[in-house]
Amino acid sequence: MTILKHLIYKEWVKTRWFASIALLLNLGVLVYIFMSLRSSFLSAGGVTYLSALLTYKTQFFSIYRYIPLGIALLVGISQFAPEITDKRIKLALHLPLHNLRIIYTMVVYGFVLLALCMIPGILIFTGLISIYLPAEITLPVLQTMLPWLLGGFCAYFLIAMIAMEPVWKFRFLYLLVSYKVLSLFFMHLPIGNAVSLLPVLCLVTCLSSIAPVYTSYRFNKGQL
Amino acid sequence: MTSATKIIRLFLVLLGVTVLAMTLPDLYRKNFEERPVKKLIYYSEISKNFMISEEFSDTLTHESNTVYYDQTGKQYTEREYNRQLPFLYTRKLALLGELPDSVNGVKFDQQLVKSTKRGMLMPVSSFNFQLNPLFESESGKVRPEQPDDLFRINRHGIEFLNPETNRILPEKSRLFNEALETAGFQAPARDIYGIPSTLKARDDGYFIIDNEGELFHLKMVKDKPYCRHIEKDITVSSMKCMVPGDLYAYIYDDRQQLHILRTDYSIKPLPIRPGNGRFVYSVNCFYKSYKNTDNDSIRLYVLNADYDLEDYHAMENDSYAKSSVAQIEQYLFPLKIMITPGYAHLIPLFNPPGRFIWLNLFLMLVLAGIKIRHHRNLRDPFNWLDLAIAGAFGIFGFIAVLIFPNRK
Repeated sequence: MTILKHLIYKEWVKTRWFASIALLLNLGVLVYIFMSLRSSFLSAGGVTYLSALLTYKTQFFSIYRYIPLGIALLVGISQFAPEITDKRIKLALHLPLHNLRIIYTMVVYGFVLLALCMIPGILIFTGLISIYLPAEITLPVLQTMLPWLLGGFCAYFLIAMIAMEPVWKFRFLYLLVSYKVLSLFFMHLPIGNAVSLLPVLCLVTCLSSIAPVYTSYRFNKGQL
Repeated sequence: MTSATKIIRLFLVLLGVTVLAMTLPDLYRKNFEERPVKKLIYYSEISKNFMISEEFSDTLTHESNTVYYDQTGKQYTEREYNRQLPFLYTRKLALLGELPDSVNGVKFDQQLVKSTKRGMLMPVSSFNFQLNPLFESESGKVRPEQPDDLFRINRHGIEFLNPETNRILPEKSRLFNEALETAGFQAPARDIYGIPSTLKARDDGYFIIDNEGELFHLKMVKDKPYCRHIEKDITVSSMKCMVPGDLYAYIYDDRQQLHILRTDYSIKPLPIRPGNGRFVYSVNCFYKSYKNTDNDSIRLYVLNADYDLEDYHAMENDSYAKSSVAQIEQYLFPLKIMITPGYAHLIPLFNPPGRFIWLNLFLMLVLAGIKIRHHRNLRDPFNWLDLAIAGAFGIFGFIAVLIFPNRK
C-alpha cells in the first residue's frame, strides 16, 4: 500500500502543474462560453436568441471541441513522457508489485485526474446554462459535448498505449490508428446528431482503456 | 503473452480493422475515381418532353463537351435546349431576349416564375429541438410575427415557456392542453413537424405525432387553440411541411413511400416508387416533377395538378458504383464502413464475397508464411485467429494483425 502511495505521489509530482493548467483551461473556456451565451442572450433578448439558436442550431459551445483533447495531451504527455525518456519506467517496473498493477495505478491515476480536470467544469457549466436555457436545449448541448469528453479520455488511454510501446516503428503506426480512432469523436456533426454514435464511442473508449495492457506487456518483455 | 493480453490484442486488431475499413476504401476512391458522365433530366412545359443533357469531360485536359437531346433522341443545341426549359433557365433566356411571351396559353411573367418551388425531400431523420414558437395563424399581417413564448409537449402535455425567465406560462399551457385533450391527443409528442420561421407568407401551425402514433394539427387562431385529429391509414415516419400552397406537408410512411397531406386533411400516396426516398422536386402551375437519383438510375416523375402520374422517364445513371474502379474496389476490400447523414450511425456495406475472397485467401496464406518464417507456434489458437481475421477481413485484417503483432 505504501508503495502505491509513493507511486501516486510520483505521478502527482510529474503532473500537478500541467493538471492545474488543464483545470484552469477547462474552467476558463467553459466560463467564457457561458459569458458569451449570457451576453448574447441579454443583448438580443431571450426570444430572439432562442429562436435563432433553434432555427440555425448554433453550436455556441463549439470552441470547447478540442479542449478535452488538449487536457488529455497535457496530462498524458506530462505523465508518460518522463517515463519513456531513457526508459525510466523500468525503475517503477522493478518495484515489488505486479507490473500490471503498477501500470494501471498510473493509468487510473491519470484517468481520475483527467476526470477531475473536466467533470467539475462541465457540471458548473450545465448549472449555469440551465439558468437561461430550457432542458430541451441543455440536454442536446451536453449530448453534443459528450463525444468530445469521451475523446479526451480515449486520447489519454491511447497516449498511455503509445508511450508504453517499446518500438518506434509501432509507436508511429499506433499514432496513425489513434488519429483515425479519435477523429470519430471529433466529427463536425450538427447539434444532437451524435447521440446515436455514443454507444460506439463508449465502447471504443472502454477498449482503449485496456490497450496499455498490451503495449506494457511488450515493453516489459522487451518484445522488439 | 498471457491469454488476457492476447485477448486484449485481438480487440485492438478488430479496432484496427474498423478504422481501416473506414479509411482505405475512401482513400482508394479519392485517388482512382474517374469523373462520371454528368446527366441531367428535366421535363419541358413547352414540348412536354423529357429534356436530357450529358456532360462528358476529360480531367486531364479539362475539356468538356455537353450533348442535349430529348427522350425521342432528337438533338438540340444549348440555346434550343434552354428555350425548352424557361422556368429553369429564366435568367439566361432573359439576357438573350429569348423568354417566351406565354407558356401553354398562360402569360409568362415574374409572378409565374415566382410560383415555381424547388426543394429536396429526404427521409433521413435528424435531430430537432422539441421546442418551437407557435405563431398566430390569422394575424392579418404580411408575415407571421415571432411570439413571446416557445412550446414543448412532454409527458405533462403542452407547456408554453417564457424564454426570458425560463419559466412555464400556466394559463396558456392549460388552455392549449384542454384543446389537445379534447381532440384525443396522448402526451408526450413523438415528433413535431412545422416551419418554425417567420420567413413565410402564412402560418399553418404544426403537425404532431402523439404518443400513440396519431397525427394532429395544432395552430393558434386569434389567440385560441385549434387542434384537429387527422385520420390516416399509414404509419408516419417523417414529414416535410411546405410553405402555403395546395398541401400542408409531404409524409414518408414506414416503407419510405411518399404521401401528400392536403389542406383538406386528405392523405394521398404519390405514384412514385419509394427507392432511396430522396427526391428533388420542382413544382409550378403546370406540373410537379419529382426526380430520384440512385446508384443505378435517374427517374423523373411528372404529376399533374391532382398529383396523378402524367409522365415518367427513367435512364441509366453513370455512377461510381458502376465504374471499373468500383468493380476493382469490390475485389480489394470486403467491406467499407460509412457514417450516415442525420443521426450518425456506422454502417458496414459488404461487397459480394465471391469477389474479395481470393485476395483474402492470398493474404491469409501470406500471413501464414510470415508466421512460419518467424517460427510462431501454430498450435497456439491465437495465431489461427489471426489467420481467420485475415481470411474474413482481407487487407484490413492483414494490416491490423501486423500492426498489433502477436509475439511468442
